[in-house]
Amino acid sequence: MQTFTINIRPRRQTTIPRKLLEELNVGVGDDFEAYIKNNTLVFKPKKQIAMDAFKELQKAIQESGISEKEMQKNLRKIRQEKYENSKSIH
Amino acid sequence: MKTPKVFIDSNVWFSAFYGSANCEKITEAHTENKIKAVISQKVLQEIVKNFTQKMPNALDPFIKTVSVIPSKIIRDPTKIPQHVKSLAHPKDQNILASAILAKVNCFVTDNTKHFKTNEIKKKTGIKIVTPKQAVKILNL
Repeated sequence: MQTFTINIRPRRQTTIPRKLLEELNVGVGDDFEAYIKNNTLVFKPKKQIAMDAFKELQKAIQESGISEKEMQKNLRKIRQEKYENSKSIH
Repeated sequence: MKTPKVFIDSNVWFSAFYGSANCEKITEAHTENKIKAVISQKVLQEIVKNFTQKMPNALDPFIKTVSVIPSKIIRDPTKIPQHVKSLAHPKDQNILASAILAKVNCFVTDNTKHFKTNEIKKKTGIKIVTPKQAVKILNL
């Protein structure tokens, strides 16, 4: 594992080595979540967190055993009901 | 170049959750800041209600997913403007009105047949497209 020394300049600015960013597949404009764990500063790319959460969601869906067809059918029913309710209000 | 704003209908979100390749490309593009995903309060409520009714275990991972890189959530219009009423099926007019308010570039849905696509493009500039068409026109 290659390590880098990162210096903190005035106003707490710093430069993250290109190689680290390339390995994480992130670049200018991307956001990180930063936190301290065991006296270590951890930077985690937000898009990685989002993708992990998305995979977790897909796993929960798969484990439920409910088909997409059934979910889409219920979705159409929900929209129809909302429309019927709004019609009765107006 | 400005990041395109894309309204994503609830049916497209569910297709992405179930692994449809084109729909996943669209949600991934949002995660990677290639597009800015827009939804309305109504779309969010539909998704939450669908999970609550059919799959409550998936609600927490869904909330986690949308909270990390949030979509822009547009308020539901209090009244459907008259000019919108002729452009979409009555039950879809509300979300079309939200998309127009949000000034999106395109609107992705599995139900393009519920919308007068040519007229909407002409009057509002919004392209109503299927996920497959969205992937093509947005170069995803």
